Amino acid sequence: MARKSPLGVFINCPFDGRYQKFLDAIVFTVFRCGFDARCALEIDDGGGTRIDKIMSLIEACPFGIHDICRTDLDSVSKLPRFNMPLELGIFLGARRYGNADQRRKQCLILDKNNFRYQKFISDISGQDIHSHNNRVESLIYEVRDFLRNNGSHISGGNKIYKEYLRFEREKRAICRTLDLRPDELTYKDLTHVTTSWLVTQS
Amino acid sequence: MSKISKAKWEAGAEAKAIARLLRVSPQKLNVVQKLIQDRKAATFPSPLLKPRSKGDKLRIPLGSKRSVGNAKKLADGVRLVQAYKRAGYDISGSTSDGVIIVEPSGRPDSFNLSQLNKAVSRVQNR
Repeated sequence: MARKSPLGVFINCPFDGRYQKFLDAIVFTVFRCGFDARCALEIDDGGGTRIDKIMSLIEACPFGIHDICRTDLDSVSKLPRFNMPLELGIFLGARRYGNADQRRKQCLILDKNNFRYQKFISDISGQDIHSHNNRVESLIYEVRDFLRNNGSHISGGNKIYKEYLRFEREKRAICRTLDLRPDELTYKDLTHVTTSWLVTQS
Repeated sequence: MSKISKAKWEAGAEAKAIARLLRVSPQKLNVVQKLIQDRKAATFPSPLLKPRSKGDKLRIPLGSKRSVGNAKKLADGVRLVQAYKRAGYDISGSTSDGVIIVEPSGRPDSFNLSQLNKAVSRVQNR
């Protein structure tokens, strides 16, 4: 069972290089809004079944951000990745069949265009799906608006976006000081760099 | 770890979180730690009341009359940190608009926290 995480936001998104800047932006916005960003990348695959660990993580987090934008075929296998719809399904299932805590779960479902999801995952029609139009700025606005409803006073999306841009610039310098390339940061490294940077901004 | 040293260690961790939250200088950490151990928020000594620098946002004023208000602020800080701790979180600090930033779970893989803090402050001070 993962650590119980009342401020936990489960992030379900692609983990490829093309999505990295979006993942950075989600992690930044989640911590900036006072929540705790959790995702499958923090799982150490040393032992146990991966799906069990992901389910524990989902169980521990009352909030979820699911980006189902990656539907392209893999360049090598020519097959799509199904992990994101699967984890979204587990999250929705927990909300439907779980105990009182699980039923209070809230999630934000994102795609890159409006109504595109109806062509590949039409069963979630009726849910409120938001689009980020493949833009980091829109993504930050969406995440911030979602978390604002569940938190106390949070600054506007524009301010958070500007802070994110400054963070991205300074992150490179921080990595250089640590003798790391930004793409070498693991998920845990990223969360620590993000929170350390945020608390020095006050 | 003995009971006494465990209590000391816990008070130290809590003091660090409160000091970060209230932006108190690290040199005053021992005062906060003592305060938490003794739980005497209303009688904390004046060194803590000095602002860290001219631009310090907290601007804790000097003077015994005002120290009651500051003691209340500190007591609120203690309560807040304890509430987060009960929920399983450590506080990393807070933003200028008052949002509390929680400590992420797990430890970083490629560096330790003191290296990171040094790197962040070096970049900030440029």
